Amino acid sequence: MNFDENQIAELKQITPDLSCAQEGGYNYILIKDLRLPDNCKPEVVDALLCSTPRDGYESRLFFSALITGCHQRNWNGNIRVLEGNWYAVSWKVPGGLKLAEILMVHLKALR
Amino acid sequence: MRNKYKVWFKIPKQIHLKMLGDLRRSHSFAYERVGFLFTTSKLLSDNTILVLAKDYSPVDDKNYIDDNKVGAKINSTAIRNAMQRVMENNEGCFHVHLHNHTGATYPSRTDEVGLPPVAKSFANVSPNQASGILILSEDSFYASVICPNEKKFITPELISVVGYPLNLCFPGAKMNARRKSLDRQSFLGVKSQHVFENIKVGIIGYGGGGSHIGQQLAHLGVKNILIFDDDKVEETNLNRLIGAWFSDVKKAVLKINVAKRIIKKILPSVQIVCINKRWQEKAELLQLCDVVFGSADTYAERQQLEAECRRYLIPLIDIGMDVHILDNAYEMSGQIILSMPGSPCMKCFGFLTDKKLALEAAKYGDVGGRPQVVWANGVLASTAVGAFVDLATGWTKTEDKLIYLSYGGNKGTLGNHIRLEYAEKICTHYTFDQLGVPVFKKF
Repeated sequence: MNFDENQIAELKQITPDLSCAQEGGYNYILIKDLRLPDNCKPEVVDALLCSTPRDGYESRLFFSALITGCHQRNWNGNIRVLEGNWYAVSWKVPGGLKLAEILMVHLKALR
Repeated sequence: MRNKYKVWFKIPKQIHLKMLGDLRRSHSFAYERVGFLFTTSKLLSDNTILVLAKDYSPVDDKNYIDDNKVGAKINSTAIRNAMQRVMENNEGCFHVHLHNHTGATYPSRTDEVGLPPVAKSFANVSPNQASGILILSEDSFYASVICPNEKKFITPELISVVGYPLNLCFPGAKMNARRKSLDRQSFLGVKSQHVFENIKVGIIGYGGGGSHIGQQLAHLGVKNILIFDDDKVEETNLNRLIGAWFSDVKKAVLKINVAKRIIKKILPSVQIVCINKRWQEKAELLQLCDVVFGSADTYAERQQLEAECRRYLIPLIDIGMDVHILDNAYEMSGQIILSMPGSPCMKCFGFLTDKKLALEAAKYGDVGGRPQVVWANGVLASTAVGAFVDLATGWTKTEDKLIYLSYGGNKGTLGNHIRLEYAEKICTHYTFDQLGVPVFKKF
């Protein structure tokens, strides 16, 4: 698992509790206690970031719970990864971004 | 007194061969060799502890001590190195050596005195993992395990080498008298009935494929069956769901109840657990299986099931069919794939690709009912059951077989898929260091 140290440090500025694991050829970053945008329920969740292409998306952000209180979105990613059941919005994020940027663009789906 | 825990011990074939290869080597003065098997364990809800072997490490020649009173004596450096690894990686550790004969094996007097303290040292430094002693013979095993936070040694109920074929050892399970109903399949081997009575088989999805499989497992005498299906019988299922009746549609009978009804009628002594949920909601039950049959509707489901099975060293036999339009005509095709831990996965075979997963994700909400027919489901399911029987009994004496069969429904053909020739031989997607409960490394 080779993540750029500078990008990890930058991501930690936003959300400090980070760890990583591999499954099925994908690398994931586990983000503990990620604070979601205003009005989201729950306000804080764990999230799993796959920063490389998966399922036709350049990157995916999976949440440990379905999020309500935000815009109606297409929640098309109900999957089991790394022994957890996760939920994801169908949300396109351009490739070539840094980890912190990827996270922020994914969170836009919940604004 | 009954033990608080049951232990199931699984070893990948690649690691088993590595151990045998190392332990068979002669040493300049030691009569035998020893090594350390590093494991991870998980306590499941029914007090079963799964112990999964992740890696084997031989003892360096220089760490043996010349002592002709015992077969092998190793120095404190060898033990300290193993303990260091156990502490750093939060693993369990088993002291391993080989008794150079075939058949059942047991500890010698020297083993009984000398080995428990070593195992206890591992348990002390890694108390939340199972540790112990493993003695190999050329074709069998003896194991004694200290469960997490326990002091007493117990014997596992299952020790298996996961490869093709499976080597399943059920210490303590009694051999029942041969059942007359199984006379015509006695060529499967003297142990086949015993294996079918003890092996645990999962069926994911009791539809057109799963219903054939469930019925056939009952005919074979497979006594421990777990079925997941969250659906009820609908009219559109009646063209292929074996055992479903017209009245089931009206009564909205659950598919798992159709399964129970037919399997119990064939094999009344079966222990059948049926879960009316997606397997993801009760994945711990799946982790108890020795073999799983999957007949998922989507590539994404297959990917998730394969990941779970690989993590718990469970061979997965996947079947599926589809009907396409080709040159204005219908073309029926299907596949049977064995995803064996340590061997090529469905990605290595080129069956699961990012492109297919992407196309499927893009079609979300527009999938509709896929074509399914009883005879094609029957061919695929029966072939999968045949693969299971050889995997579990080894009756064809085939070693390390890879299975990726392609079904041509229009011509009625079944043969090796061309991709089998080009598959990656070593799977890099699922490695043994990913076994068991996921380990997240902190940044």
